[in-house]
Amino acid sequence: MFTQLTSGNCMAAIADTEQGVLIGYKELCPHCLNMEKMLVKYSKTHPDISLFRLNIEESPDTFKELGGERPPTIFVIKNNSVVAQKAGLMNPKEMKAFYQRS
Amino acid sequence: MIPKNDIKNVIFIMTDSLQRDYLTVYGNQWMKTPNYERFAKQATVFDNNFTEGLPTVPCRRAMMTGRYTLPFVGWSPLRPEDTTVSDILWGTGIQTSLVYDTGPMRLPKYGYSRGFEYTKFIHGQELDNHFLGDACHLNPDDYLEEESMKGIEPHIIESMKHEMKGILANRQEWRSQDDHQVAKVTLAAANYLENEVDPKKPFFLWVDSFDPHEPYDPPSVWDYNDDDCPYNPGYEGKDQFEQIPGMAEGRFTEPQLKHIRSLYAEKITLVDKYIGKLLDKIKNLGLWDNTLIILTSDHGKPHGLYEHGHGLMRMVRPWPYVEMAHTPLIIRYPGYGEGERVKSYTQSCDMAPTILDMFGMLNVEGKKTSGFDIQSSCNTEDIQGVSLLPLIRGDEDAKARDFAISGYYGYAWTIFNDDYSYIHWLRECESDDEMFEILYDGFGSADGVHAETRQSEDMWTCTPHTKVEIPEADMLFDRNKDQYQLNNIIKEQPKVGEKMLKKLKLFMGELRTS
Repeated sequence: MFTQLTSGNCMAAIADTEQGVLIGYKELCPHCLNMEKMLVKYSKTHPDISLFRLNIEESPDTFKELGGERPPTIFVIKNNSVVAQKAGLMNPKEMKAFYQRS
Repeated sequence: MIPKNDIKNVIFIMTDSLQRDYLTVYGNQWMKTPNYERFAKQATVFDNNFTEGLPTVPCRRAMMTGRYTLPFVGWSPLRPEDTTVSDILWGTGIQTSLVYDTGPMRLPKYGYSRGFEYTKFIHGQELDNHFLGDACHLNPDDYLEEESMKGIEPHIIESMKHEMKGILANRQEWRSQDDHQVAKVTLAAANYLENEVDPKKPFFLWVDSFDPHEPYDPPSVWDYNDDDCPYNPGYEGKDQFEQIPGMAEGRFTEPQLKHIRSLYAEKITLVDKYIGKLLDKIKNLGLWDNTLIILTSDHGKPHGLYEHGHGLMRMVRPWPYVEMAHTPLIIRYPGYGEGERVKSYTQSCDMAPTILDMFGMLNVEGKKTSGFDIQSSCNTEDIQGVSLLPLIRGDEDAKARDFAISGYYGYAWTIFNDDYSYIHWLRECESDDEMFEILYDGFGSADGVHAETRQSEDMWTCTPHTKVEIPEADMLFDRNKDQYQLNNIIKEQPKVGEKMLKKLKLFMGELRTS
């Protein structure tokens, strides 16, 4: 479901993606766990959108480079670059609206 | 054994503010509630039912929509995107009806009667008590002790006296118990069943009695037969049936508090009597064995110190304590669970899925009506509660959940399990006005400035390498040794507190993302 990214391949993966969502997460973060569950549900109705995850404690510089501050942060990828980001929680309907307007 | 498919109808009976531990069915030793007890013997009693979002309006929103409200919304109108039981049943051939006197459900702009094809509203309760007239020989000051107004802001006293004038104007016409609000509501519901409903079609009837909510004015207050309050005979002070809200200490003496609680108890006994009459009517009309009947309430009441209300008089602070949150729920599902008790944790949002399940409509897709796109959202995909029918049937592995949440939007979240309860305070609240500003969530005088905007994004995010820390104000109670939450043990058991807070936040986040 999710492709795990690291500092070594994150930017290349973004540059190679037409439509995607990346979550910056932290191990043991309950909100991150809930957001990942939400993304799984969201992707069932949006199978064309690729899902990525980045452990922000293992790759703090990459997370910072992307503009992230607090996990969970969602990054919307469109046409090979990050076009929007949002920290905190969303439900599938909010995620759909956020992706569409990004 | 009556097979499930012989059950055609659902009757849902809400009695507002009926505190669980005033019912003999839940262990009360001094009250008289014979009709609840009689019903319970032929039904299933739920021992761990909790209202998730307090008080009146959020609870009904959860019951009608099957969704939790606590992290999302306080006391506010139904939104177009909310889908209720009556929305889903509309146009399916199931008759839907609402018989009620609960003012907050009828409020202009609020929309809680939406979707019901038959409605009967009985005038006279809170928010509507000036409808029936004003001329009155009765004086509010005859029902207020002077010291109960001590330290209370003048605009609150003025507002309460205005409300009492309306109540007294209504009461000047009362001559017997049949004039009480609960009598009128239950008699109207009986009339609907006898004369209005089409017996050839299934029906869903929601009966919503605002009694035993304040005013606590049972028959002894109006002295039809020189009655004395049976729970406090010989009391010589004033019958403070409509108390000035606020913290109780210094404003009410212990004898006064006892009398207020006794008037409340007497009113519950009156409610019990008329609910009994409605149940008798249901039997006499031949509906007993083909109708699912649910009896419940939205919350208890604070009536003073300690277990009676943790210091509060009336619900003007965001108190999520057990006396408010732990609520009665008794369901008669013909053929199943007679005389049984269910320990699994249930919540107000389980009402909608239980009702829909009885009609075989728990998994409904949106209506495909050309030209009316909003109908496509009348589906069950957003429901978060669970049907309680499998629990009553005793289906293998049937379980609702092993914990429950409760609280006030924007102020306090709490979690209960078999061993502990934990209160997580989101912010302090020191006045009635402050509470309502947040709880009303931007509606009314707040002019659309939603309370949620004041909540920090920090609530739903972490920082790297941090762990759960217990806020100073949070509280932990041992449910086995301290059922009324009087002894905060969070300093003695910080690890348990940490675990409970983590579980609470994880669940709230799960709701926020579903």
